[in-house]
Amino acid sequence: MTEKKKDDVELTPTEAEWDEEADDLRVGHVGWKELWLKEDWWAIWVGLGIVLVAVAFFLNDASIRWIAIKPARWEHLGQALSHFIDHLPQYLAMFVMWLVVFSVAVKAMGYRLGEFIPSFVFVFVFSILIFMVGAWTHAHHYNLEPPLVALVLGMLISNLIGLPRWMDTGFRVEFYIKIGIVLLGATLPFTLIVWAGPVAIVQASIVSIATFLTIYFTAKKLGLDRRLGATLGAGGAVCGVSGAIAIAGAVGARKEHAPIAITLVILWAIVMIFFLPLVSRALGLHAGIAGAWVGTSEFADAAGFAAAQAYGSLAENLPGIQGTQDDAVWAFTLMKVVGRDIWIGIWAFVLALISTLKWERKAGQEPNPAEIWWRFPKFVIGFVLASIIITLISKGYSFAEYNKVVKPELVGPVKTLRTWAFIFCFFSIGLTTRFRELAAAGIRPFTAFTTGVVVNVLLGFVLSVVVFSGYWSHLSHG
Amino acid sequence: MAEPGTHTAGGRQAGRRRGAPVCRHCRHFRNDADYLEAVLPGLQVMGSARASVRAEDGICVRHQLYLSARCSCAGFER
Repeated sequence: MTEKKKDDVELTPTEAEWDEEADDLRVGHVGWKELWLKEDWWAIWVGLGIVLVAVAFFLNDASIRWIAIKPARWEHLGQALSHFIDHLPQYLAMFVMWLVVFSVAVKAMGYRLGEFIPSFVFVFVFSILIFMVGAWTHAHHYNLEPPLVALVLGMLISNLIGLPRWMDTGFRVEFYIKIGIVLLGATLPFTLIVWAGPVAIVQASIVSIATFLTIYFTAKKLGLDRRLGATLGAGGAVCGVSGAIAIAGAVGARKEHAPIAITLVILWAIVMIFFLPLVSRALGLHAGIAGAWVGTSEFADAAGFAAAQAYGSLAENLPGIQGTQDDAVWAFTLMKVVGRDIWIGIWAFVLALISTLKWERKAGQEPNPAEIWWRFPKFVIGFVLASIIITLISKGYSFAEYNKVVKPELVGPVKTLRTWAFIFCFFSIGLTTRFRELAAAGIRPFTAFTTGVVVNVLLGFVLSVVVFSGYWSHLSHG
Repeated sequence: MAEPGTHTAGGRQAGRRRGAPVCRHCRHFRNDADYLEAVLPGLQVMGSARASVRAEDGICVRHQLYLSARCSCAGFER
């Protein structure tokens, strides 16, 4: 449905509503203001800040363990409740910590604290319940992994009950996942990034290029606009919604192209959250191998972490699956973040070049190579720095000392806080996924994207399980 | 300059020069993060308008395009 506006411009009702403030909807050159206006940088400030505080405590023979509280294993509900009551001051302190750091960040990014605070209280309370369910000793037998519970519960609430729109201010999926990834850097040895990173880049590049070309040429064959083909291709091949939105802007896509790609990415990403761990479990894949497959074949960081963490949890708690949760999450991160995400700027620059010089044929109007930096997912810098910092701190310790001192006092608490950030994220995915509000994709875009999904999943499987399995099943020894 | 409706990527410095005739300074351009999340359904679910990858892209409501703030066209209006 559209409305007529002045200048014969047709606006949707939402656009028309916003257009009353048209002059305020143009943001000038951001430049260095990006440091406090973009969530990638805030993920660095918050994530690295936590890591540095943890290191400062550790170097002074103390630990942030007290505030990094999580539900203990329980058999009967009474045990869970008594743990919670006994540790209530710690849960409250952790809540205040998250609330304060998040509030500073979201305020700087322009959100209303009056909306964020009650919304985050809602997220936090449910996250405790979700974490508690995951701590039940029988949870894994019923597939009640925290990521999956968070996702399903969130989707039930948003699609069956519904929440006020202003609460979206607290459901910041990307913000939470980026903080989680920076914290994850602190638990991933830098030597492992150096050892397995190149393999991840090779594997991810093969799959990304094959998937992109499949989607693009299928779209072209079906008569779709090539800008839509490129947007769909980037969504399926590079980094999901972020990839689609970056390429849509780089090639100057039609306004409706990005939402079509977003719808398809979300639908397939949610399918893959359940499909990839289920098939991996049925085949008894090693956690590291499954993590690499998820990293190659999931479409969004947040969805991929949900799948990798869920499978890693199964590996740690069910017999018959080799590897640990770290294996699954590390392999996923190397493949998705190092192998795929960081190249989005190059994809955008190359496609902008093709769009300008080949599709539009406007010589002399070449895009700026600096686009590679502008679009670089900056949170990756925090992820790498966190890894380097903890690796340097751990350097002077033997393996036995590391397990006895560094792990419980430094790395463990950071990992617990990372898990909380991930649960906030997974629950937020569910809460913001309102199926009836997604744009209609149409059969041709669906066909093009789905063809790419099939190629992506099969190729990702062959490379992870057959070609590079030796790497992904030995990450812990890397 | 390109004909109206045909957006080009803009020169190397065009986007930064104060008042340059690029989309960022055009009355038809909208790149506010909250606006984009409101009019691009699903963007917030597994993405964000405040992510670095978006750079400063926005919507040209006149030509119904989603494009870089450094683009330009003959339909520029201050």
